[in-house]
Amino acid sequence: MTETSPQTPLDDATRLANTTRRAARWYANYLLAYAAGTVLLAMLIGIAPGRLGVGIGMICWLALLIGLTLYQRKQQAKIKRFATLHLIVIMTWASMWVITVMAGSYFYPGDLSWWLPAGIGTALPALIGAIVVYRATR
Amino acid sequence: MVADPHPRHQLDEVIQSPVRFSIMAALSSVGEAEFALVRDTVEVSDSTLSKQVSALEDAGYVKVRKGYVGKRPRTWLSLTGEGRTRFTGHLATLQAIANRVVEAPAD
Repeated sequence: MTETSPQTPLDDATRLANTTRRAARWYANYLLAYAAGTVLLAMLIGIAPGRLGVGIGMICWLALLIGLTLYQRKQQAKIKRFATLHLIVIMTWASMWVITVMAGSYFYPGDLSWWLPAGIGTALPALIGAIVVYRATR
Repeated sequence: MVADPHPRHQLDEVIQSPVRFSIMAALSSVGEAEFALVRDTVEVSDSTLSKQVSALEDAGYVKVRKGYVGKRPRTWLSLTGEGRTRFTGHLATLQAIANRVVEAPAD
């Protein structure tokens, strides 16, 4: 193949697309951190029910959200259909979180055998989202 | 009338420019990319990228979105639906030409 081969621009296109695609992978890390934070928050509420657990959990959660926002602001690329995926993940997470907290606070206060699996379950939307992003940016 | 015209006639003239082709390629795999990322990926100056992006924007292939992160202005670039379709078609044509070269090697 010579420099003027029609294959050359095709190879260039693949290389350039891969570079920007990798730059959009940050969102997988974002969602992984979000999932980990969800499990941690659920466990904190489970271990220390009442104001203490909720208070510490909220401070940790706020710190995580601030960190994620700062991380997001530094990024230079977004995956295709970013807004749709983000909306689906956050809306699903929020629905599951409300159910988890309401059911856990009423029926299982301080019961880690509820809060740990419930936390993992609530983290699933973000975990699945992270896998989707990782596969899309491979 | 030519029965089997060479696929080069289907190449998009706007995308044929190497820099514009590279910009389209860089944007093809993402929803949106910041101006600086495209500039560094395509390896051109700010002014060159601005000029070529304007040409692509005029053709309706690229959308430019300006915003701020804190006090810093940022420019985001993305392919329009039309741009994505045209670029995919352009790549398919290049592939067809490449296949012809393989099928009919020079003596």
